[in-house]
Amino acid sequence: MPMNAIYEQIAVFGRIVLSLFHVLELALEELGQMLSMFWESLRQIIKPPIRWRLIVDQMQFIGVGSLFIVVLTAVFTGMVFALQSGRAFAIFRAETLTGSVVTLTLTRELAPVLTALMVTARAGSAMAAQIGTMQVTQQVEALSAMAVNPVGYLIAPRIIASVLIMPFLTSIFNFVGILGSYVVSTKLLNIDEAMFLENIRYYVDVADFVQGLFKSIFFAAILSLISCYQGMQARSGASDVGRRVTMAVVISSVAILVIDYFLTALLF
Amino acid sequence: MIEFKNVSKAFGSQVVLDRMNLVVETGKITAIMGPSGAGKSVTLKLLMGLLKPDEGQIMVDGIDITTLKDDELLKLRHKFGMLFQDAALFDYMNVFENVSFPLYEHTKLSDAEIEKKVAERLHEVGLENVNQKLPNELSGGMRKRVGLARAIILEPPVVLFDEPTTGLDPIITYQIGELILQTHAKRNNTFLMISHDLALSYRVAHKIAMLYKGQIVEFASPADLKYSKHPFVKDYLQAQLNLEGAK
Repeated sequence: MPMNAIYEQIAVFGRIVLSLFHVLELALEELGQMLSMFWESLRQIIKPPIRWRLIVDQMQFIGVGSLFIVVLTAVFTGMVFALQSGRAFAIFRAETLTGSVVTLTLTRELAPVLTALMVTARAGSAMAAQIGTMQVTQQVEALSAMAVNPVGYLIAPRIIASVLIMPFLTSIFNFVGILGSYVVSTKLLNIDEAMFLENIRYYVDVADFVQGLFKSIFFAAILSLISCYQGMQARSGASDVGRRVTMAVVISSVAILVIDYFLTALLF
Repeated sequence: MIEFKNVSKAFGSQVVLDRMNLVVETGKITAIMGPSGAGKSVTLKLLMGLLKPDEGQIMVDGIDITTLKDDELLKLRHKFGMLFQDAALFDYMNVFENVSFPLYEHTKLSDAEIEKKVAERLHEVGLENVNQKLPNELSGGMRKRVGLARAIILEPPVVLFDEPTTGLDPIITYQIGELILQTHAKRNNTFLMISHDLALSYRVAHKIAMLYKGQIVEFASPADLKYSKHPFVKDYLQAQLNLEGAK
Protein backbone atom coordinates (compact mmCIF):
# COMPACT_ATOMS: atom_id res chain seq x y z
CA MET A 1 0.00 0.00 0.00
CA PRO A 2 1.46 3.42 -0.90
CA MET A 3 2.41 5.71 1.99
CA ASN A 4 -0.18 8.35 0.99
CA ALA A 5 -3.00 5.82 1.32
CA ILE A 6 -1.72 4.80 4.77
CA TYR A 7 -1.56 8.44 5.87
CA GLU A 8 -5.10 8.89 4.52
CA GLN A 9 -6.33 5.90 6.57
CA ILE A 10 -4.64 7.25 9.71
CA ALA A 11 -6.21 10.67 9.09
CA VAL A 12 -9.69 9.12 8.72
CA PHE A 13 -9.16 7.14 11.93
CA GLY A 14 -7.96 10.30 13.69
CA ARG A 15 -11.02 12.25 12.55
CA ILE A 16 -13.34 9.50 13.82
CA VAL A 17 -11.58 9.45 17.21
CA LEU A 18 -11.72 13.24 17.40
CA SER A 19 -15.43 13.36 16.57
CA LEU A 20 -16.09 10.66 19.19
CA PHE A 21 -14.22 12.73 21.76
CA HIS A 22 -16.23 15.78 20.69
CA VAL A 23 -19.52 13.91 21.21
CA LEU A 24 -18.26 12.67 24.58
CA GLU A 25 -17.23 16.19 25.54
CA LEU A 26 -20.68 17.55 24.62
CA ALA A 27 -22.40 14.75 26.55
CA LEU A 28 -20.24 15.39 29.62
CA GLU A 29 -20.87 19.12 29.34
CA GLU A 30 -24.66 18.52 29.24
CA LEU A 31 -24.38 16.11 32.18
CA GLY A 32 -22.35 18.64 34.14
CA GLN A 33 -24.86 21.41 33.47
CA MET A 34 -27.74 19.13 34.42
CA LEU A 35 -26.07 18.08 37.69
CA SER A 36 -25.32 21.71 38.46
CA MET A 37 -29.01 22.54 37.89
CA PHE A 38 -29.99 19.58 40.07
CA TRP A 39 -27.75 20.89 42.85
CA GLU A 40 -29.28 24.35 42.51
CA SER A 41 -32.75 22.75 42.58
CA LEU A 42 -31.90 20.91 45.80
CA ARG A 43 -30.65 24.18 47.28
CA GLN A 44 -33.86 25.92 46.24
CA ILE A 45 -36.06 23.08 47.54
CA ILE A 46 -34.81 23.54 51.10
CA LYS A 47 -34.60 27.32 50.85
CA PRO A 48 -37.65 29.40 51.79
CA PRO A 49 -40.08 30.35 50.46
CA ILE A 50 -41.50 26.90 49.74
CA ARG A 51 -44.10 27.56 47.10
CA TRP A 52 -46.86 25.19 48.20
CA ARG A 53 -49.43 26.59 45.79
CA LEU A 54 -47.15 25.87 42.81
CA ILE A 55 -46.34 22.42 44.20
CA VAL A 56 -50.03 21.57 44.60
CA ASP A 57 -50.76 22.91 41.09
CA GLN A 58 -48.02 20.73 39.66
CA MET A 59 -49.18 17.71 41.68
CA GLN A 60 -52.60 18.20 40.20
CA PHE A 61 -51.19 18.58 36.69
CA ILE A 62 -48.82 15.61 36.94
CA GLY A 63 -50.95 13.37 39.14
CA VAL A 64 -54.60 14.02 38.40
CA GLY A 65 -53.82 14.87 34.78
CA SER A 66 -51.95 11.60 34.23
CA LEU A 67 -54.47 9.44 36.10
CA PHE A 68 -56.53 8.39 33.09
CA ILE A 69 -53.56 7.35 30.96
CA VAL A 70 -51.97 5.52 33.93
CA VAL A 71 -55.21 3.62 34.68
CA LEU A 72 -55.66 2.77 31.01
CA THR A 73 -52.09 1.50 30.69
CA ALA A 74 -52.34 -0.41 33.98
CA VAL A 75 -55.56 -2.24 33.21
CA PHE A 76 -54.37 -3.46 29.81
CA THR A 77 -50.90 -4.32 31.10
CA GLY A 78 -52.41 -6.44 33.88
CA MET A 79 -54.88 -8.05 31.49
CA VAL A 80 -52.43 -8.94 28.74
CA PHE A 81 -49.82 -10.13 31.22
CA ALA A 82 -52.39 -12.39 32.90
CA LEU A 83 -53.48 -13.71 29.51
CA GLN A 84 -49.93 -14.54 28.41
CA SER A 85 -48.68 -15.96 31.70
CA GLY A 86 -51.95 -17.84 32.38
CA ARG A 87 -51.73 -19.60 29.04
CA ALA A 88 -48.03 -20.38 29.54
CA PHE A 89 -48.59 -21.72 33.08
CA ALA A 90 -51.48 -23.83 31.82
CA ILE A 91 -48.99 -25.90 29.77
CA PHE A 92 -47.64 -27.39 32.99
CA ARG A 93 -50.85 -26.95 34.98
CA ALA A 94 -49.55 -24.13 37.20
CA GLU A 95 -52.04 -21.46 36.12
CA THR A 96 -52.94 -20.63 39.74
CA LEU A 97 -49.51 -18.95 39.95
CA THR A 98 -50.66 -16.32 37.43
CA GLY A 99 -51.84 -13.86 40.09
CA SER A 100 -48.62 -13.97 42.09
CA VAL A 101 -46.38 -13.73 39.02
CA VAL A 102 -48.32 -10.80 37.57
CA THR A 103 -48.39 -9.04 40.95
CA LEU A 104 -44.68 -9.54 41.57
CA THR A 105 -43.79 -8.26 38.10
CA LEU A 106 -46.12 -5.31 38.39
CA THR A 107 -45.07 -4.20 41.86
CA ARG A 108 -41.34 -4.62 41.35
CA GLU A 109 -40.90 -3.51 37.73
CA LEU A 110 -43.79 -2.78 35.44
CA ALA A 111 -45.77 -0.38 37.60
CA PRO A 112 -42.93 2.03 38.45
CA VAL A 113 -41.37 1.84 34.98
CA LEU A 114 -44.54 2.13 32.90
CA THR A 115 -45.99 4.83 35.17
CA ALA A 116 -42.76 6.81 34.82
CA LEU A 117 -42.80 6.37 31.02
CA MET A 118 -46.43 7.50 30.80
CA VAL A 119 -45.77 10.51 33.04
CA THR A 120 -42.72 11.34 30.94
CA ALA A 121 -44.78 11.24 27.76
CA ARG A 122 -47.57 13.34 29.18
CA ALA A 123 -46.19 15.59 31.91
CA GLY A 124 -42.44 15.55 31.16
CA SER A 125 -43.04 16.71 27.60
CA ALA A 126 -45.39 19.43 28.89
CA MET A 127 -42.78 20.59 31.44
CA ALA A 128 -40.14 20.89 28.71
CA ALA A 129 -42.57 22.68 26.38
CA GLN A 130 -43.82 25.13 29.03
CA ILE A 131 -40.39 26.07 30.33
CA GLY A 132 -38.92 26.09 26.80
CA THR A 133 -41.62 28.48 25.60
CA MET A 134 -41.07 30.70 28.63
CA GLN A 135 -37.35 30.65 27.91
CA VAL A 136 -37.62 31.73 24.26
CA THR A 137 -40.21 34.44 25.05
CA GLN A 138 -38.02 36.02 27.77
CA GLN A 139 -40.44 35.00 30.55
CA VAL A 140 -37.64 33.15 32.37
CA GLU A 141 -35.46 36.24 32.04
CA ALA A 142 -38.35 38.33 33.37
CA LEU A 143 -38.43 36.12 36.47
CA SER A 144 -34.73 36.79 37.07
CA ALA A 145 -35.27 40.49 36.40
CA MET A 146 -37.98 40.51 39.09
CA ALA A 147 -35.48 39.04 41.56
CA VAL A 148 -37.08 35.59 41.47
CA ASN A 149 -34.78 32.60 41.03
CA PRO A 150 -36.12 30.69 37.98
CA VAL A 151 -34.84 27.37 39.30
CA GLY A 152 -36.62 27.93 42.61
CA TYR A 153 -39.81 29.10 40.93
CA LEU A 154 -40.06 26.81 37.91
CA ILE A 155 -38.00 23.71 38.55
CA ALA A 156 -38.00 22.98 42.28
CA PRO A 157 -41.83 22.83 42.54
CA ARG A 158 -41.98 20.47 39.56
CA ILE A 159 -39.38 18.13 41.04
CA ILE A 160 -41.04 18.16 44.49
CA ALA A 161 -44.49 17.59 42.98
CA SER A 162 -43.24 14.72 40.79
CA VAL A 163 -41.49 13.02 43.71
CA LEU A 164 -44.55 13.37 45.95
CA ILE A 165 -47.14 12.24 43.43
CA MET A 166 -45.34 9.42 41.61
CA PRO A 167 -45.63 6.80 44.41
CA PHE A 168 -49.40 7.39 44.42
CA LEU A 169 -49.64 6.95 40.65
CA THR A 170 -47.50 3.80 40.90
CA SER A 171 -49.75 2.43 43.65
CA ILE A 172 -52.80 3.08 41.48
CA PHE A 173 -51.03 1.33 38.59
CA ASN A 174 -50.41 -1.64 40.88
CA PHE A 175 -54.00 -1.81 42.06
CA VAL A 176 -55.59 -1.41 38.64
CA GLY A 177 -53.09 -3.77 36.98
CA ILE A 178 -53.73 -6.49 39.55
CA LEU A 179 -57.47 -5.91 39.15
CA GLY A 180 -57.14 -6.33 35.38
CA SER A 181 -55.18 -9.54 35.78
CA TYR A 182 -57.76 -10.78 38.33
CA VAL A 183 -60.62 -10.23 35.89
CA VAL A 184 -58.83 -11.98 33.00
CA SER A 185 -57.56 -14.81 35.20
CA THR A 186 -60.81 -15.63 36.98
CA LYS A 187 -63.39 -14.75 34.31
CA LEU A 188 -61.58 -15.59 31.09
CA LEU A 189 -59.03 -18.23 32.04
CA ASN A 190 -61.30 -19.72 34.75
CA ILE A 191 -58.55 -19.77 37.38
CA ASP A 192 -59.93 -20.40 40.83
CA GLU A 193 -60.46 -17.06 42.58
CA ALA A 194 -59.37 -18.28 46.01
CA MET A 195 -56.17 -19.82 44.64
CA PHE A 196 -55.42 -16.67 42.65
CA LEU A 197 -55.65 -14.52 45.78
CA GLU A 198 -54.00 -17.02 48.11
CA ASN A 199 -50.94 -17.30 45.86
CA ILE A 200 -50.61 -13.51 45.79
CA ARG A 201 -50.75 -13.48 49.60
CA TYR A 202 -48.20 -16.28 49.82
CA TYR A 203 -45.62 -15.11 47.28
CA VAL A 204 -45.90 -11.33 47.34
CA ASP A 205 -44.41 -9.35 50.20
CA VAL A 206 -44.87 -5.74 51.31
CA ALA A 207 -41.19 -5.27 50.42
CA ASP A 208 -42.08 -5.88 46.75
CA PHE A 209 -44.46 -2.93 46.81
CA VAL A 210 -41.95 -0.79 48.68
CA GLN A 211 -39.26 -1.63 46.11
CA GLY A 212 -41.48 -0.36 43.30
CA LEU A 213 -42.47 2.78 45.18
CA PHE A 214 -38.83 3.50 46.01
CA LYS A 215 -37.93 3.22 42.32
CA SER A 216 -40.82 5.50 41.38
CA ILE A 217 -39.36 8.28 43.54
CA PHE A 218 -36.04 8.02 41.67
CA PHE A 219 -37.78 7.99 38.31
CA ALA A 220 -39.87 11.03 39.26
CA ALA A 221 -36.78 13.04 40.19
CA ILE A 222 -34.98 12.00 37.00
CA LEU A 223 -37.81 12.63 34.54
CA SER A 224 -38.71 16.02 36.03
CA LEU A 225 -35.09 17.13 36.20
CA ILE A 226 -34.31 16.09 32.62
CA SER A 227 -37.54 17.61 31.27
CA CYS A 228 -37.04 20.91 33.09
CA TYR A 229 -33.37 21.04 32.09
CA GLN A 230 -34.23 20.51 28.42
CA GLY A 231 -36.85 23.26 28.62
CA MET A 232 -34.33 25.66 30.15
CA GLN A 233 -31.88 24.94 27.31
CA ALA A 234 -34.32 26.07 24.59
CA ARG A 235 -32.86 29.11 22.87
CA SER A 236 -34.03 29.91 19.39
CA GLY A 237 -37.76 29.79 18.84
CA ALA A 238 -40.44 27.18 18.29
CA SER A 239 -38.30 24.62 16.46
CA ASP A 240 -35.78 24.54 19.30
CA VAL A 241 -38.60 24.09 21.83
CA GLY A 242 -39.89 21.14 19.76
CA ARG A 243 -36.40 19.63 19.63
CA ARG A 244 -35.98 20.03 23.38
CA VAL A 245 -39.35 18.38 24.06
CA THR A 246 -38.32 15.39 21.94
CA MET A 247 -34.98 15.20 23.75
CA ALA A 248 -36.72 15.44 27.13
CA VAL A 249 -38.95 12.45 26.35
CA VAL A 250 -36.23 10.34 24.73
CA ILE A 251 -33.52 11.00 27.33
CA SER A 252 -35.92 10.60 30.27
CA SER A 253 -37.30 7.31 28.90
CA VAL A 254 -33.85 5.85 28.28
CA ALA A 255 -32.59 7.10 31.66
CA ILE A 256 -35.56 5.48 33.44
CA LEU A 257 -34.82 2.09 31.86
CA VAL A 258 -31.06 2.29 32.48
CA ILE A 259 -31.44 3.46 36.08
CA ASP A 260 -34.08 0.80 36.69
CA TYR A 261 -31.50 -1.86 35.90
CA PHE A 262 -28.85 -0.38 38.17
CA LEU A 263 -31.29 0.23 41.03
CA THR A 264 -32.46 -3.37 40.82
CA ALA A 265 -28.92 -4.73 40.56
CA LEU A 266 -27.43 -2.60 43.32
CA LEU A 267 -30.20 -2.18 45.86
CA PHE A 268 -32.52 -5.18 45.64
CA MET B 1 -25.71 56.39 40.03
CA ILE B 2 -24.94 53.73 37.43
CA GLU B 3 -21.54 53.62 35.79
CA PHE B 4 -20.04 51.27 33.23
CA LYS B 5 -16.24 51.33 33.43
CA ASN B 6 -14.27 49.79 30.56
CA VAL B 7 -16.84 47.01 30.17
CA SER B 8 -16.11 44.36 27.55
CA LYS B 9 -18.25 41.44 26.51
CA ALA B 10 -17.74 38.94 23.71
CA PHE B 11 -19.68 35.89 22.61
CA GLY B 12 -17.10 33.54 21.15
CA SER B 13 -15.15 35.55 18.62
CA GLN B 14 -17.85 38.23 18.33
CA VAL B 15 -16.92 41.25 20.42
CA VAL B 16 -20.12 43.04 21.44
CA LEU B 17 -18.85 45.58 23.95
CA ASP B 18 -15.28 46.81 23.81
CA ARG B 19 -14.16 48.75 26.90
CA MET B 20 -17.42 50.65 26.99
CA ASN B 21 -17.80 53.60 29.39
CA LEU B 22 -21.12 55.17 30.32
CA VAL B 23 -22.51 57.14 33.23
CA VAL B 24 -26.28 57.04 33.77
CA GLU B 25 -27.32 60.00 35.86
CA THR B 26 -29.70 59.48 38.75
CA GLY B 27 -33.20 60.82 38.19
CA LYS B 28 -32.71 61.34 34.45
CA ILE B 29 -33.90 59.52 31.36
CA THR B 30 -30.99 58.15 29.38
CA ALA B 31 -31.43 56.51 26.01
CA ILE B 32 -28.89 54.19 24.41
CA MET B 33 -29.16 54.09 20.66
CA GLY B 34 -27.27 52.25 18.02
CA PRO B 35 -27.53 49.80 15.14
CA SER B 36 -28.86 46.26 15.58
CA GLY B 37 -26.30 43.98 17.15
CA ALA B 38 -24.38 46.89 18.67
CA GLY B 39 -24.82 45.49 22.17
CA LYS B 40 -27.72 47.57 23.49
CA SER B 41 -29.67 44.62 24.94
CA VAL B 42 -26.42 43.11 26.25
CA THR B 43 -25.80 46.38 28.12
CA LEU B 44 -29.14 46.07 29.91
CA LYS B 45 -28.56 42.40 30.70
CA LEU B 46 -25.13 43.21 32.12
CA LEU B 47 -26.68 45.89 34.31
CA MET B 48 -29.29 43.44 35.61
CA GLY B 49 -26.57 40.86 36.28
CA LEU B 50 -28.19 38.46 33.80
CA LEU B 51 -24.82 38.36 32.00
CA LYS B 52 -21.30 38.76 33.36
CA PRO B 53 -18.84 41.05 31.56
CA ASP B 54 -15.52 39.61 30.43
CA GLU B 55 -13.79 42.61 31.97
CA GLY B 56 -14.57 45.99 33.46
CA GLN B 57 -16.75 47.21 36.31
CA ILE B 58 -20.44 48.06 36.53
CA MET B 59 -21.07 50.30 39.51
CA VAL B 60 -24.57 50.67 40.96
CA ASP B 61 -24.73 53.06 43.89
CA GLY B 62 -21.03 52.54 44.51
CA ILE B 63 -21.14 48.73 44.41
CA ASP B 64 -19.37 46.80 41.65
CA ILE B 65 -22.09 44.35 40.68
CA THR B 66 -19.70 42.19 38.63
CA THR B 67 -18.29 40.86 41.91
CA LEU B 68 -21.66 39.93 43.42
CA LYS B 69 -22.76 36.34 43.94
CA ASP B 70 -26.06 35.04 42.54
CA ASP B 71 -28.00 35.60 45.77
CA GLU B 72 -26.61 39.13 46.08
CA LEU B 73 -27.53 39.83 42.46
CA LEU B 74 -31.11 38.75 43.16
CA LYS B 75 -31.24 41.33 45.97
CA LEU B 76 -29.70 43.97 43.71
CA ARG B 77 -32.50 43.44 41.19
CA HIS B 78 -34.98 44.87 43.68
CA LYS B 79 -33.55 48.22 42.61
CA PHE B 80 -34.67 47.62 39.01
CA GLY B 81 -37.88 47.30 37.12
CA MET B 82 -37.72 46.22 33.52
CA LEU B 83 -40.04 46.55 30.58
CA PHE B 84 -39.05 43.85 28.08
CA GLN B 85 -39.19 44.23 24.31
CA ASP B 86 -42.29 42.01 23.98
CA ALA B 87 -43.33 42.80 27.57
CA ALA B 88 -42.49 39.15 28.54
CA LEU B 89 -45.76 38.79 30.41
CA PHE B 90 -46.39 35.33 31.87
CA ASP B 91 -48.71 33.89 29.26
CA TYR B 92 -50.52 31.56 31.70
CA MET B 93 -51.37 34.40 34.09
CA ASN B 94 -54.00 37.07 33.61
CA VAL B 95 -53.22 40.78 33.80
CA PHE B 96 -53.89 41.04 37.55
CA GLU B 97 -51.68 38.02 38.30
CA ASN B 98 -48.90 39.42 36.11
CA VAL B 99 -48.89 42.87 37.70
CA SER B 100 -49.33 41.57 41.25
CA PHE B 101 -46.61 38.92 40.83
CA PRO B 102 -43.71 41.02 42.28
CA LEU B 103 -45.91 42.09 45.21
CA TYR B 104 -46.80 38.52 46.12
CA GLU B 105 -43.14 37.49 45.73
CA HIS B 106 -41.47 40.31 47.62
CA THR B 107 -43.95 41.89 50.00
CA LYS B 108 -46.26 40.77 52.77
CA LEU B 109 -49.14 43.01 51.73
CA SER B 110 -52.67 41.74 52.17
CA ASP B 111 -54.78 40.74 49.17
CA ALA B 112 -56.83 43.92 49.52
CA GLU B 113 -53.72 46.11 49.54
CA ILE B 114 -52.31 44.29 46.53
CA GLU B 115 -55.59 44.70 44.64
CA LYS B 116 -55.53 48.42 45.41
CA LYS B 117 -51.93 48.83 44.26
CA VAL B 118 -52.52 46.88 41.04
CA ALA B 119 -55.60 48.98 40.27
CA GLU B 120 -53.58 52.18 40.85
CA ARG B 121 -50.72 51.09 38.59
CA LEU B 122 -53.04 49.89 35.84
CA HIS B 123 -54.93 53.18 36.04
CA GLU B 124 -51.62 55.04 35.85
CA VAL B 125 -50.71 53.27 32.59
CA GLY B 126 -54.18 53.93 31.19
CA LEU B 127 -55.78 50.52 31.56
CA GLU B 128 -59.13 49.72 33.18
CA ASN B 129 -61.19 46.53 33.42
CA VAL B 130 -58.48 44.26 32.05
CA ASN B 131 -57.68 42.30 35.24
CA GLN B 132 -59.03 39.00 33.97
CA LYS B 133 -57.65 39.22 30.44
CA LEU B 134 -54.82 36.94 29.36
CA PRO B 135 -51.80 38.45 27.56
CA ASN B 136 -52.85 36.89 24.24
CA GLU B 137 -56.13 38.84 24.45
CA LEU B 138 -54.27 42.17 24.58
CA SER B 139 -52.92 44.35 21.78
CA GLY B 140 -49.18 45.05 21.54
CA GLY B 141 -49.60 48.48 23.11
CA MET B 142 -51.71 47.12 25.98
CA ARG B 143 -49.14 44.41 26.67
CA LYS B 144 -46.44 47.10 26.95
CA ARG B 145 -48.63 49.05 29.36
CA VAL B 146 -49.19 45.96 31.51
CA GLY B 147 -45.42 45.28 31.33
CA LEU B 148 -44.74 48.84 32.51
CA ALA B 149 -47.28 48.52 35.32
CA ARG B 150 -45.50 45.34 36.44
CA ALA B 151 -42.08 47.00 36.13
CA ILE B 152 -43.04 49.92 38.42
CA ILE B 153 -45.30 48.10 40.89
CA LEU B 154 -42.52 47.84 43.51
CA GLU B 155 -41.53 51.49 42.92
CA PRO B 156 -37.94 50.62 41.92
CA PRO B 157 -35.45 53.51 41.80
CA VAL B 158 -34.31 52.45 38.29
CA VAL B 159 -36.57 51.43 35.40
CA LEU B 160 -35.10 49.84 32.29
CA PHE B 161 -36.83 49.84 28.92
CA ASP B 162 -35.84 47.38 26.20
CA GLU B 163 -37.05 48.77 22.85
CA PRO B 164 -40.35 50.05 24.30
CA THR B 165 -41.92 50.97 20.96
CA THR B 166 -40.70 48.23 18.62
CA GLY B 167 -43.53 46.79 16.55
CA LEU B 168 -46.07 49.44 17.56
CA ASP B 169 -47.94 51.79 15.24
CA PRO B 170 -47.13 55.55 15.35
CA ILE B 171 -50.11 56.46 17.53
CA ILE B 172 -49.33 53.82 20.15
CA THR B 173 -45.63 54.73 19.89
CA TYR B 174 -46.55 58.32 20.73
CA GLN B 175 -48.74 57.19 23.64
CA ILE B 176 -45.97 55.01 25.05
CA GLY B 177 -43.64 58.01 24.86
CA GLU B 178 -46.18 60.08 26.78
CA LEU B 179 -46.54 57.28 29.30
CA ILE B 180 -42.78 57.18 29.86
CA LEU B 181 -42.72 60.95 30.41
CA GLN B 182 -45.72 60.89 32.77
CA THR B 183 -44.35 57.95 34.75
CA HIS B 184 -41.00 59.68 35.09
CA ALA B 185 -42.56 63.01 36.05
CA LYS B 186 -44.42 61.32 38.92
CA ARG B 187 -41.39 59.62 40.38
CA ASN B 188 -38.26 61.31 39.08
CA ASN B 189 -36.42 58.01 39.22
CA THR B 190 -33.71 56.85 36.82
CA PHE B 191 -34.87 55.57 33.45
CA LEU B 192 -32.50 53.78 31.09
CA MET B 193 -33.95 53.02 27.70
CA ILE B 194 -32.52 51.27 24.68
CA SER B 195 -34.21 52.06 21.43
CA HIS B 196 -33.95 52.36 17.68
CA ASP B 197 -36.57 55.04 17.75
CA LEU B 198 -34.79 58.40 17.38
CA ALA B 199 -38.01 60.42 17.58
CA LEU B 200 -38.91 58.76 20.87
CA SER B 201 -35.42 59.25 22.29
CA TYR B 202 -35.41 62.91 21.24
CA ARG B 203 -38.80 63.42 22.91
CA VAL B 204 -38.25 61.66 26.24
CA ALA B 205 -34.50 61.39 26.93
CA HIS B 206 -32.38 63.90 28.83
CA LYS B 207 -29.23 62.28 27.44
CA ILE B 208 -28.66 60.04 24.43
CA ALA B 209 -25.71 57.65 24.24
CA MET B 210 -24.77 56.39 20.79
CA LEU B 211 -23.36 52.86 20.92
CA TYR B 212 -21.26 51.83 17.96
CA LYS B 213 -18.79 48.98 17.58
CA GLY B 214 -18.98 48.20 21.28
CA GLN B 215 -18.26 51.72 22.50
CA ILE B 216 -20.22 54.84 23.37
CA VAL B 217 -19.10 57.18 20.60
CA GLU B 218 -21.31 60.10 21.58
CA PHE B 219 -23.10 61.07 24.79
CA ALA B 220 -25.09 64.26 24.59
CA SER B 221 -28.44 65.88 25.13
CA PRO B 222 -30.87 65.56 22.22
CA ALA B 223 -30.26 69.24 21.38
CA ASP B 224 -26.48 68.74 21.20
CA LEU B 225 -26.51 65.37 19.45
CA LYS B 226 -27.18 66.90 16.03
CA TYR B 227 -23.88 68.77 16.26
CA SER B 228 -21.93 65.55 16.71
CA LYS B 229 -18.91 65.23 14.45
CA HIS B 230 -18.70 61.45 14.72
CA PRO B 231 -19.26 59.95 11.23
CA PHE B 232 -21.50 57.15 12.52
CA VAL B 233 -23.73 59.54 14.49
CA LYS B 234 -24.01 61.85 11.48
CA ASP B 235 -24.93 58.91 9.23
CA TYR B 236 -27.42 57.58 11.78
CA LEU B 237 -29.16 60.92 12.15
CA GLN B 238 -29.13 61.51 8.40
CA ALA B 239 -30.63 58.08 7.75
CA GLN B 240 -33.36 58.84 10.26
CA LEU B 241 -34.04 62.20 8.58
CA ASN B 242 -34.25 60.43 5.22
CA LEU B 243 -36.75 57.98 6.69
CA GLU B 244 -38.80 60.81 8.11
CA GLY B 245 -38.69 62.52 4.71
CA ALA B 246 -39.82 59.33 2.99
CA LYS B 247 -42.86 59.24 5.28
